[in-house]
Amino acid sequence: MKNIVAVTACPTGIAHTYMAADLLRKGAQKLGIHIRVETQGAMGIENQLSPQDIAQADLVLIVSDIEIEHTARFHGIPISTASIESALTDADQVLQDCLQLC
Amino acid sequence: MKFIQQVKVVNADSIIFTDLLESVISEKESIQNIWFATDKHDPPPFSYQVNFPRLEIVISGMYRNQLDDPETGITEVDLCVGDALFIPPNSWNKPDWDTTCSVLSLLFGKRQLGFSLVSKNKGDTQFYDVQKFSITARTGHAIDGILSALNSLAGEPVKHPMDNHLLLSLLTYSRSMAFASAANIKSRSEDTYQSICIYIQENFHRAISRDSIAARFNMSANHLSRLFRKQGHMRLSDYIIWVRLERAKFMLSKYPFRLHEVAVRCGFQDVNYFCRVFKTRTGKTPSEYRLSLK
Repeated sequence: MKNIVAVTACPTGIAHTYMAADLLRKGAQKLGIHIRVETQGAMGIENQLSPQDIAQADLVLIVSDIEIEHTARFHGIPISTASIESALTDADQVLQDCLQLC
Repeated sequence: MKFIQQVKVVNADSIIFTDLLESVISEKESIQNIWFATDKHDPPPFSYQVNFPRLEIVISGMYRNQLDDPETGITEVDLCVGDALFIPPNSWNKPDWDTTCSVLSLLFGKRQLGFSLVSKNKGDTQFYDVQKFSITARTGHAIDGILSALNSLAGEPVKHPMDNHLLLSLLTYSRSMAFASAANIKSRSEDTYQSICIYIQENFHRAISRDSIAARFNMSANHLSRLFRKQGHMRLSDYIIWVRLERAKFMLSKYPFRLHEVAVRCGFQDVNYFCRVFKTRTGKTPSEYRLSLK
């Protein structure tokens, strides 16, 4: 099973961050991908990725329209990026694209 | 050194938002209209729809939104300075972000209370200022009750003047939480208490009991009860029932499940027991409750 760690963030941090995270979790379950999603929104950093999560990941997926916090921890792991819009429109496709990369 | 700087930043943000809330509360008379979002119809793409309640208050300018209209489908509203929009869990709104405005958002998450102050100029593609700040949420306290009262009120035909009073309570409570976080005094037992509340909220549908929760948190059952009474001002069993009944109310209002199914999904093994507890705590049987919302 592929292992992905993801971070979602949007400019206002009010809703899209959390909606994208939910859609990624649902999509991953459907596609048989193990995913951990960290949200960086107005509620601060939630479900923070642990060093173990990151060490075990095949790929880092960053779904954001802004610069995210703490990117240094992903050093050495392939990173894929997507816009919030693409995740809200078709999260499954975003995840499929990730599978191509890992 | 770096740590000290971070602490300072946090305090500065906390002051911005405490002051902002203070001024909204003191100019309470200026709160003109309170809107409630609903979710009878499917939201348009890129609407804001999350599973926790939110509150938005217009600080300056005009804030245009699409909202669900139970009768006509979708309606467009212009919120002016002092107007507030309360969005219950799973309801939606769609900001148009094409007018000049500053909007304060409060996000009432399970773990965190988030604040966001967003400012936009008409015609710009980007926001010119975004301030975010968050503090640990306080589940098991009065704020839960205030929020659930507002969630219920959203579905009631007569909202005024209760909406104003509840909104003021919510703002006052939020301000006191923001203020307390500036002082940042939190004991270890408060931390544990918070984790237990979250654990209960995430596992209410399972067969959790005083003993199983105590075992999960490596403490004796008596210690757990004591901790709960001291921190939560509510008995552990009352809190578990409260969480389950809130969920049951939501399911009854939302889905055509049979009572047996609602009971099981909310962690009640026995449907008769569920009905009895529901009636004792809410004054209505589950079926009466469901009918009263129709």
